[in-house]
Amino acid sequence: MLKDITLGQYMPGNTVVHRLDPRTKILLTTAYITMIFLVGSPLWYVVPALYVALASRLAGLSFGQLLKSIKPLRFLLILTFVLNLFFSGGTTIWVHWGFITIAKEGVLLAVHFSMRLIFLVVGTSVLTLTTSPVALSDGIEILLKPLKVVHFPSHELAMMMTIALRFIPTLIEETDKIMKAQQARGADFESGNLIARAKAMVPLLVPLFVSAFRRAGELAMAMEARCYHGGEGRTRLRVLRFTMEDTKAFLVSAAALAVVIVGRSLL
Amino acid sequence: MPIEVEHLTHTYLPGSPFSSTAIHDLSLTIEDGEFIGVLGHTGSGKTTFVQHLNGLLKPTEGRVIVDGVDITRKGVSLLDVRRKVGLVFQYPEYQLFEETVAKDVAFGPKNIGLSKTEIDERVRWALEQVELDFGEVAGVSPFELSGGQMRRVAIAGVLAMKPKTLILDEPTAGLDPRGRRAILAMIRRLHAENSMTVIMVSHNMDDIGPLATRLLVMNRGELVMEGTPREVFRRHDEMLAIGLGVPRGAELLYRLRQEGYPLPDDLYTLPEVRDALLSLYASKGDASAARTQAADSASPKEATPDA
Amino acid sequence: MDCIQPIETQGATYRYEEDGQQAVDHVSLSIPKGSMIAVLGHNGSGKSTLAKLMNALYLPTEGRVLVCGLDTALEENLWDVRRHAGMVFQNPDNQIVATVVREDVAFGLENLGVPQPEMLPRIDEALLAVRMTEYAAAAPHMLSGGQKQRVAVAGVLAMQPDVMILDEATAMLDPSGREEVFSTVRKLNREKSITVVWITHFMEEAALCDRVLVLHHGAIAMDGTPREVFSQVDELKKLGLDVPPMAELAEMLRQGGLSLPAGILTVDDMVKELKACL
Repeated sequence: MLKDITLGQYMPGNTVVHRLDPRTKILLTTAYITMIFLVGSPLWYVVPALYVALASRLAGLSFGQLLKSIKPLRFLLILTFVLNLFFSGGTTIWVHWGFITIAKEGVLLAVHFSMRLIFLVVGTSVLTLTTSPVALSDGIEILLKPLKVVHFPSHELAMMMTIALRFIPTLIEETDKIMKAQQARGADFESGNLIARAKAMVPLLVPLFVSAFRRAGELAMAMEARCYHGGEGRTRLRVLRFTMEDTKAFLVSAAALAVVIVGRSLL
Repeated sequence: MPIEVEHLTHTYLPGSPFSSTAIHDLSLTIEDGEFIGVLGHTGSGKTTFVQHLNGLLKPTEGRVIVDGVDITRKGVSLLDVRRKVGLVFQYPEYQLFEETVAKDVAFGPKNIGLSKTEIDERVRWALEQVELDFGEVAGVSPFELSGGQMRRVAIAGVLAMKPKTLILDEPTAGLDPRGRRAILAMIRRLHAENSMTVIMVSHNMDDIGPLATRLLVMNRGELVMEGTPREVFRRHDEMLAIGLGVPRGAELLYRLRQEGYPLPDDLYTLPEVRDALLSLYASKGDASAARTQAADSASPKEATPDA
Repeated sequence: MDCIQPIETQGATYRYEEDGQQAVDHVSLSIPKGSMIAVLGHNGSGKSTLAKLMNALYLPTEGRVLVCGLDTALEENLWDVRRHAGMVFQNPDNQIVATVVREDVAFGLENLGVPQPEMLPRIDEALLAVRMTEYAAAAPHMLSGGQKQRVAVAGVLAMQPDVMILDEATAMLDPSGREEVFSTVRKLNREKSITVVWITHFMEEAALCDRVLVLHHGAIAMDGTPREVFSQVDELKKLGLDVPPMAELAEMLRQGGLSLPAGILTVDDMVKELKACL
């Protein structure tokens, strides 16, 4: 059934990477993204490549799983590559055929930007593949806590994420049911042009929204009945603690980042 | 318009690690005018089964033949199937979406492509069938009605397709006793007056017993028992073993038979249980009680000894 | 703090709109500690509103509601009232907040600001009491309706309430789920002497409670032990309620000349009485 499908990309496991504090992983991913933007030439991608290879090996992720994360982006990738290839100009012309001109600089840029995109996606996938959505929202909540001084609702944001995660399977199941119920009355969601299809969504979307609002109302009441009154004075079951493993991870990343910065200044 | 089910098997997400068989090799024929009760606890596959009868689900294996047409074949008009077999889902009030009751009931007929006058006539007819006053509710938003009324509107929405077979999945779930009795009476009338075939999924023995002409009992995706309510409810131990139980009347007679009383094993409605008990009482030789019973009860059933 | 009088209402009245009908109409009632009371009534009889008055989700528009002696209308009592009187609702899906069972049980404790080390044993104990220990790490949407409701009960139980109010907690469940939740709560009532207000429209559940209250148009129409209430077959029917099948059969047999005592509710009762006269 639909509800049996696991949500998001998270692959449960018990590796070093899985065990790292989500805050560590979020910060390291941020450092990694910085690193990618600092890479000066395609050759230097070898550093993030090694870094990701190490992380995914430690996390027990296969090459195939990482490749899968790029799949949805394949059109964007091709577009990035082609645009850079043909339209970045340059002086060292390699191919000149009719109106098509390919310069050495274009090739380099095309490779550079495609690599950047690939590494961005693959690296962040290591985060989402090894961190449960709940842990992620925890990490984000705590990391954003200092922003409370400027009235940033970090607790509310995390609570919203948790509730959304909790209700997505329920709503998927409900969508399936309403769709079938309307089909039983002869509704057709599959044929017709764009406008007809958009119109056909009304009998699905109205009940879905009505139900979502009803659920929201009931949930709010149930939360209140269990003494929910915002983040104030709230304790937490899940306590995040940095361990030796986190320290090691920070050191490794700092080293990698340093190499890239040095490499950039050498160029 | 018989419905024939041949070796129906349904597997969810076949080939994936979440694969699970909801129905296994189920075959049966449903004849015109029957009132079928489908029993089974949650997860027994009863909902999955009925969703095959109007083509909402495609079998992994096997065929479903409605009115001589194999609806599992490619290219069959599903709209046609849905006109013939109406399906009322569990908590059907959650599918209402239109601004007014009349418009919502008209949704099905409109999808069939009927003319305006025909749609109008069907909406009136369907609302009448569910015992709602057209003049009173037609222009009202369905979301302003009470829960029980909303459910009736939703049932009317399916009836407006004028199906020959009506399937209801737990039509009384979540209703209070009054609402439950009203819906059951309405279904009984729909079956009797419109010569509609009715298939009702339920887990309430006391609801389904007096209505159904045939019961199907499902367990773990298989059809484990089939027969008239009398035939099924006498199989007390088997029903208990699959977590279902029998109506209270049958349960009482079973317990008394265990105590050694010569009572029949094929009764379950309260009046017939009363008659059986009173005639046993009379046979004990209490003359005055026998007289009272003879006066009160027109045709007492013969108590047959325990088989 | 010891709670001597878990729930007391003094002419409690509630109307949704300023001059609308009274959903709860001058209900005065006191529920003794450790008892399990069933509240019956058809839809719109005011049962659900009465439940929400007992947990300060609604405040009486007239009269008073006291939970463990605390007036629900006083703002400073709000969180204490809700800690003393926990509530379980009808729809299992719409009261579970977290994505993991254990964390949902923790939700109330987190809100109360219970220190984390103290939470763990309380969660374990609550899950054990509702027999859901093995599902501690499960995702709620994979559970059956009965299991979800037991998680909801555990969530309330972990807060160590004196009263549990269950507002049609079994209405959306199948018979085995219903039995599962009812027997769990009945056991908690007996073993931990938690006072229970069990709102339902299943007569068979009400028959197993200590006391039955029937509401009609927001007022108390009947109040007594199950035997007292369910022997009034005609009155119950007039109020639109079901009569337990055995009570109805007993009445039918009496009319047929059998002399059966009042108060037959279950098959067990009936077997016992029939053995005496057959």
